[in-house]
Amino acid sequence: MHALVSKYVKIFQLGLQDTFVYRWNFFIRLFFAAIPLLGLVFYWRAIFDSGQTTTIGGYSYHGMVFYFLLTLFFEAMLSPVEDDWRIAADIREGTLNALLLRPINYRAYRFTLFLSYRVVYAIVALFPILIVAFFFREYIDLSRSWETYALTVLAAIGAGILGFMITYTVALFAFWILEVSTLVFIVFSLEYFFSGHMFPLDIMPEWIYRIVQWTPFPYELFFVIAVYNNKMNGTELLKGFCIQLLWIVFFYLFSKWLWNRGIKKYTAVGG
Amino acid sequence: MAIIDVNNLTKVYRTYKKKPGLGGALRGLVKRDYISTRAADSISFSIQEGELVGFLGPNGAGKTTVLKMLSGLLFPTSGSATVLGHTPWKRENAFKKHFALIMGQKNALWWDLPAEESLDLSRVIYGVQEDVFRKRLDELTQLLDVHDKLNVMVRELSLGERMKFELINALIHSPKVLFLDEPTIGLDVTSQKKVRDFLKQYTKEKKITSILTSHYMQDIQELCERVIIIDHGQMMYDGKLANVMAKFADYKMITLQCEGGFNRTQLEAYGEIVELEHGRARLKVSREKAVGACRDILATVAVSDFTIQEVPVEDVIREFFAEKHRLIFTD
Repeated sequence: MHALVSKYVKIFQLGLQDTFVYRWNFFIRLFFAAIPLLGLVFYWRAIFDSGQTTTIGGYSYHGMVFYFLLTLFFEAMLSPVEDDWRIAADIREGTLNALLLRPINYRAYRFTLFLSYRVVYAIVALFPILIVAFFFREYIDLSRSWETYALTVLAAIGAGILGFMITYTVALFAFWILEVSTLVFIVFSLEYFFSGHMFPLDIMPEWIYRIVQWTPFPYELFFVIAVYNNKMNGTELLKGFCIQLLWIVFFYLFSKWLWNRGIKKYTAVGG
Repeated sequence: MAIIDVNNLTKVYRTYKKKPGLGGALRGLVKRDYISTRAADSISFSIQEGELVGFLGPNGAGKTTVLKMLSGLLFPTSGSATVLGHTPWKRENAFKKHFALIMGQKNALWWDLPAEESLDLSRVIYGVQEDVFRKRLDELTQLLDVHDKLNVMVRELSLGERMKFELINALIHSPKVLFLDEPTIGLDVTSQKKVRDFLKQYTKEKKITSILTSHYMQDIQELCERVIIIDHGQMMYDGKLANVMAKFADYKMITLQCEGGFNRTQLEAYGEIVELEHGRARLKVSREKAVGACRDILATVAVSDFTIQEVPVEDVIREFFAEKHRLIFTD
């Protein structure tokens, strides 16, 4: 057990160091991710100015701006960055060979690296996020009960794991197709739209929102913010956590199935 | 008991043959013609503890295919193999812990980190004790002369240094079986020699059972007493390299310099004339006649320079493959 833990602690450490080499990449990327945010703020300003109501789908102008600040924050904390490219590269370039021959579990190895990338990214992200937060300070409202904070952390952990499992699953298609970037981009578009990056999902017509709730994407981001904003009560909250868990289990099993078939093919034709 | 035991190991690749042009591509959607390539065809051999066996053969002969099957990276189409009592392609941890594969063209080290970090990762992956690890690391880095490079980023190392660390990385868990696929590829002559000398000494000392493939005949010649020759997936020969040499290199090359020129008929009496121009001659003389011929030539011709050489192994192997259709001989 001790040996097993130290194995993954070491991988985690290497992941930290390895990613830290690219810290400036992250920093710049995050900084510029805040620019579209400005656009969104102006966009919503205009909508609220022209309309008769002061709220849209239950969001006030302030609430809307805060929503986008939260997407920026959770995105920086949770979403996989380059994991899909790296996994696909392992398969395509045959780096996987060396890993297959060692007493190590590839999924656990990749998940550990994902965690270490997250840590570096979060640390690097802190500075630009503070700048953005300072700029928009009048829209920020952090008063929540500790229960809400606890549930938000739980939902965020689920979102991180789900994000990784989806990325890992998509990347495994590299066993069959040479270039996974098309697939990665399709999934990314779906994620971008249905996870609540562009607008809060609950301003959509009721019947669409109901359907979207059953897809995995809201549980990568929107769900976390909804929990934080106390948008859901007891049963709804429980249902949300259950769907999130179900999708994690689904992608876990799906990726396992893909892996077994992929490895069989990989080891049948050589890599 | 044999450490490596291989029985009728066969690997058939099925590849789809595409007809040329767009029409061919469309037809391929409906009906496909497959061609089967026998990358390894009924390969059988066994290797005892501590042996270092060389795999010889042209590109695409099936050497790497066999090595990959023995490593567990490829499932065979038929046949069986055991390495240290395990079936490699089951990829059990008990097997992985006592085995290593080095591929000259692939690297296992982390590119952006110092080599020491990758080595330390190997330590925890294989569960090597810290003090044992330190001792081995010191020994290996001293032997390969890279102890001062441990803290250098891998991407800043020279090709030779990187290969040396790849070797150290593969040996840090003290494997009992080692497969080396082109370990000296692309290295300069000095590094090649260093790596070669190291492998020779280290595998002998630690009794590591090894298989080596290399394009550099000198590697094979200096490291492997026994060779297995493979071509078109088939085993052409399994035995001592010296026997191949005796059979196909039963002559020596004599080169002569003489200002006054030569008498062609006189030289023809000793052996085959490979080259004859003004003041310079090259002769192919059979092994047993070589000494006598030298004595006679030196006594009768006023030579200004004189060399006698073994036939390069490359030439021997070339000759072997040139003759293989007529002759498959066993030790």
